[in-house]
Amino acid sequence: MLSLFGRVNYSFNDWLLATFTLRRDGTSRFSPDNRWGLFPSAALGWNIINAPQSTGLSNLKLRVGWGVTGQEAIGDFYAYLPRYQASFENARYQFGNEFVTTLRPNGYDENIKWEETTTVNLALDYGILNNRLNGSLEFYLRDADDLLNFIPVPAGTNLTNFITTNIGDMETRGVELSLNAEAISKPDLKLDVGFNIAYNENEITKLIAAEDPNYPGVLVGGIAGGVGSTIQVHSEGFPAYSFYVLEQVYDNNKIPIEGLYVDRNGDGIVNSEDQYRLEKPSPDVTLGLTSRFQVKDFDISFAGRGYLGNYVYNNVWSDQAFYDRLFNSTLVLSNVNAATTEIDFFTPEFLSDHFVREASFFRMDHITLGYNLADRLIGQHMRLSLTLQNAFVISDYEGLDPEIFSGIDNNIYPRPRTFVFGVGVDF
Amino acid sequence: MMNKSANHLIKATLFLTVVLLAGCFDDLDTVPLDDDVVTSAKVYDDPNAYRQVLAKLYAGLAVSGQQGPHGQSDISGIDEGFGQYTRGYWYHQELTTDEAVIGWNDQTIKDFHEQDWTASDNFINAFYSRIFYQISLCNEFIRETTDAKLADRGVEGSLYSDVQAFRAEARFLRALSYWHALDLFRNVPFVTEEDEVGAFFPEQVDATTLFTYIESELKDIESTLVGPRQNEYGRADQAAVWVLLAKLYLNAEVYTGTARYADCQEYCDKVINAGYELEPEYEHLFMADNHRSNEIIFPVTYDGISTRTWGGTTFIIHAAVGGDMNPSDFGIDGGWNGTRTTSALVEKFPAVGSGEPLVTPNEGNPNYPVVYMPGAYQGWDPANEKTVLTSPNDDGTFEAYMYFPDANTEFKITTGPNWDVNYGDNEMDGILDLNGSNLVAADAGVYKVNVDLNNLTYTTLKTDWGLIGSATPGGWDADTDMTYDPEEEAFVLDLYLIAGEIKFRANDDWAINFGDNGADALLDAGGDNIQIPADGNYLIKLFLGAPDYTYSIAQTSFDFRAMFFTQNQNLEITDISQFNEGYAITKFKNVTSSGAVGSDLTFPDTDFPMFRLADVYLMFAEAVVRQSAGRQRALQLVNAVRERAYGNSTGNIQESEMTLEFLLDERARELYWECHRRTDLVRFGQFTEGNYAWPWKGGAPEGVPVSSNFNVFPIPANDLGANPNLVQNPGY
Repeated sequence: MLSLFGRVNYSFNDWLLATFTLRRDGTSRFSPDNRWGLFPSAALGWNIINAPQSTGLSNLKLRVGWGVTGQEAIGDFYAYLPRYQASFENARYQFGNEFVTTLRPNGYDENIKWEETTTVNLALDYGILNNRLNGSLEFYLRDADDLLNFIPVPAGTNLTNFITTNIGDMETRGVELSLNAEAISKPDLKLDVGFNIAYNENEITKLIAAEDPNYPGVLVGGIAGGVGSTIQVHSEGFPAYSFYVLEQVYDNNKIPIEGLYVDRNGDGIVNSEDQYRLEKPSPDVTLGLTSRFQVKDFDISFAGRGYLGNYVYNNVWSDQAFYDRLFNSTLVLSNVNAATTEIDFFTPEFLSDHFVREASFFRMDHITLGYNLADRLIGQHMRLSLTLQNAFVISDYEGLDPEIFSGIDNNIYPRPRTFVFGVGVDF
Repeated sequence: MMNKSANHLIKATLFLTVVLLAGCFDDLDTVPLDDDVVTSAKVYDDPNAYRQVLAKLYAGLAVSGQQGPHGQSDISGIDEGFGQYTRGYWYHQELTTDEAVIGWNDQTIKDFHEQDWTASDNFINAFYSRIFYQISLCNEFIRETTDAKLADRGVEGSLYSDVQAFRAEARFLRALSYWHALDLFRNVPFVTEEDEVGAFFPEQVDATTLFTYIESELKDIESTLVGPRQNEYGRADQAAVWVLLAKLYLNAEVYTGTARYADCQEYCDKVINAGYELEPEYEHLFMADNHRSNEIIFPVTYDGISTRTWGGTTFIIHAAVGGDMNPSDFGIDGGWNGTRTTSALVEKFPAVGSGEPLVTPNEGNPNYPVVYMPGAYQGWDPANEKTVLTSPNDDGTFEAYMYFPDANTEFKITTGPNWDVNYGDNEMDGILDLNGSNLVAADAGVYKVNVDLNNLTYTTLKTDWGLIGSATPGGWDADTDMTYDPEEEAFVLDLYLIAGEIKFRANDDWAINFGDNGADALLDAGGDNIQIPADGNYLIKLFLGAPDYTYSIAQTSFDFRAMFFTQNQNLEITDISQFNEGYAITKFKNVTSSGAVGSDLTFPDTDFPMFRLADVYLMFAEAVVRQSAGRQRALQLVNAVRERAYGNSTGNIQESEMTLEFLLDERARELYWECHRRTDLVRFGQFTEGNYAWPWKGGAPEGVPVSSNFNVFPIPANDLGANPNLVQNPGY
């Protein structure tokens, strides 16, 4: 990897700020023809107001940005280069009385190139009442072109069946509002509050060269249980990592009926063609809330955050909550999950949408109590604090922890709740 | 102000110039430093590389990647073991048929036996990917060994001629995989060495085009490959090419609509005359030292140390072990509780003891004078006509062999079917006393009871019977014990005898022995020896219930290929998930023919016999029967296979019995679990629809018809999505 980078800043009378950058990156992962990428960006800022006004506004700034970034971190250092690879000694092949170390030609993509992401954003920074209330409102649109992804190759065309190559485009859109307030600001009494909320959505806009309505997309998201099973899919027109499941049928008491699914395509049989895309692991809305309250030498602060509209596949249930696990074919007793009696399945039903659950939550990341002592005992200044990390989680999700980045919950150990007592001394 | 702006402009221009002129940096032209990796531009600088790449083409059938048992996988998107070539082939050819079910719950694995798979099935996708991976590997090697490239690299002399042989073998392996593609998927994308690696969409070819291509490739390389049995073990020779041609021709009508049975017969004939021999013991074909067999024509080789995989025979052997089976009997460290068979396969083998009777029991005279023997063993009923002692000479002496299920059985003797005149023994002195105390037999078992009413004496003697004679394993020196079967009311023995003579005797002593004077099936004390005409399995019964004493001999032909484990296994299956439902199969083992365990307990040494001689015999017979020509030779070959199976000629068939239906069943008996079954059933029109049902075909316990489109597998949805030139097979 080799980079050249340049930046020009321009400021006109402090009310117009412009920044241009240009970088040129080369990577040994790609062939000499595709090695170099040119990534410009431009940002324009307009300080509309930067002094207190009679309207109460003290700051108003409009920002517009445009930029292109490149992605080349694809694991394989020589993805473009035809190579042969020798076997380990436990994967040799017998010719006569000799075990021959084999040489395998590896798959490659001569034409692999940079994934380019173009981002456009529009933001308004504001400050009111001498910036005691400030924050910003930002919109962004991100188009990833020539997305690098790991996809199946047309059979017979390469020395592998899956390859990392440039496969298509994904669009991400979002809006974020942030707000910081110094609600009270007196020498002995202070209250600061920070809040942000963001809405995001993403969609795969193009996936592969071939367009076939029967093609479900790239199967991703390996799960525990059926070896090699997947539960997610990248499909055109849907969010990345959508859950790809069968629609469970329930009885009158809302108990799932084992092995019975909706024949969604109406062909009389239920099979993998009846799988549908249900939700995704990424949240629609993310929230953040922080606050600090101080009275004389005492202070209390906390930080919390929340996700709304994120979904999780409870793989702990699907893999461990069924009766046959008690007495499997080896006739050895195994533990089953406590949810078994509620789900009431005898055999595992990995693809049931019964296991896909909304996992919206609000988590209090930490609460801290502090007390400042001035030079009483040993040093010049001393601070005692008590911090509770992972204080509580509010969520309807029934697994151990709703915060599962991949959306596939295999978590059987709870997140620790930690108490920290701190003593800080300045000498 | 102007100055400042100009300054900015100059700086910006300089900066852009630097950025845009860059690109002439050589530092990025790096090559891999790993010793195990070499660029394709340099790999063939080493003359050994040709042989090593060829080894990879073969290993493509055996392992799943460059590291055993897993790691550096060849293909992605599936568990490495599932995606291994031979295991995938086994799933498609066996799990779909009457020969195998699997108890696991992995993804859609049960769809194979239920015959309701779809184009999205990941197992089908994986095997299809494997086939085309293998074809791509072969194409690469063929592309790299053209005369032009060899000349460029200065390859000449013996290396040049070696490479010519390697290249022909690569074309054989490509033809083999294309045959698998033809047999399973019919209409598939077509790529050859002309198609360089890269992003393009291969054209789809129909079955007839592909058939013609495979045939022409095989005929083209036939003379380049070394002669039968002349190559190193593990590598293909001419006979492998001939077997593949024979298989192509045998199924030609399925693929193209045009029968080619005469061609099949011709190529089978070449193999039959090539010097291979049936392995004398059937079970040795599937053991850890089966590389020594003269029957196997083309194997996929395995080794516990050097060729490790979670597929192949590792899968075949481990998955078949469970329930009460002892893993150490199979040379492995544990069973995977997976595969069993259906009753449809079990029933293709004759039941034990169903053979021809040689001697049938002779009832003799049932009307001798009797006395009665009521006792605790029969409910103290003096009127029971079955528990009597008889006097064949009508001289006042009576005899019987009585079975007492319990020890200390008490009984009495009555002269009529009532208690009017009854005898016991007050002093236990062997002298009968009128109305005396009960007589007692100390042990359970069969007692010889003698009563002399002339002298009012009696004797009791417990007897255990055995078989002795030149035909028995112990010769004339030692008895082979028989066991008493209360239901049959007979001593029985099922054993292998050689031609010779036998007698029955009690208590390992000549004091009481029976022969047969006049061979009338009536036993005579101290009588003539009984003749056993031929080697074979016999079921022998000795009936001592009442005089006259008699016996039976039946020749029980036994098919030693019926390698089922039945202890605590139900024949019928009500739940496929349960290992103990359906008989288990003991055919493949990681144990050598001399009983030694393979080199590793997890990864067997046992090779997979892809092509072997018995299959060729049966293909020859089928081709003959389908043309109705030269049947005598076909019959000889079929009977050669059956004589090996039975250990003698008792299983041989007559020419009239050599029907197509018989041959299909015989192929199941001989070749089950060797990846032939689906192809055979399709050829006979019995795989789908209603001609033949087996348990759980179509997902129902009794087996139900399935649409004929399932005769071929769907083109996987993944490849339909990736290659717009492909059209799905009908019905999917």
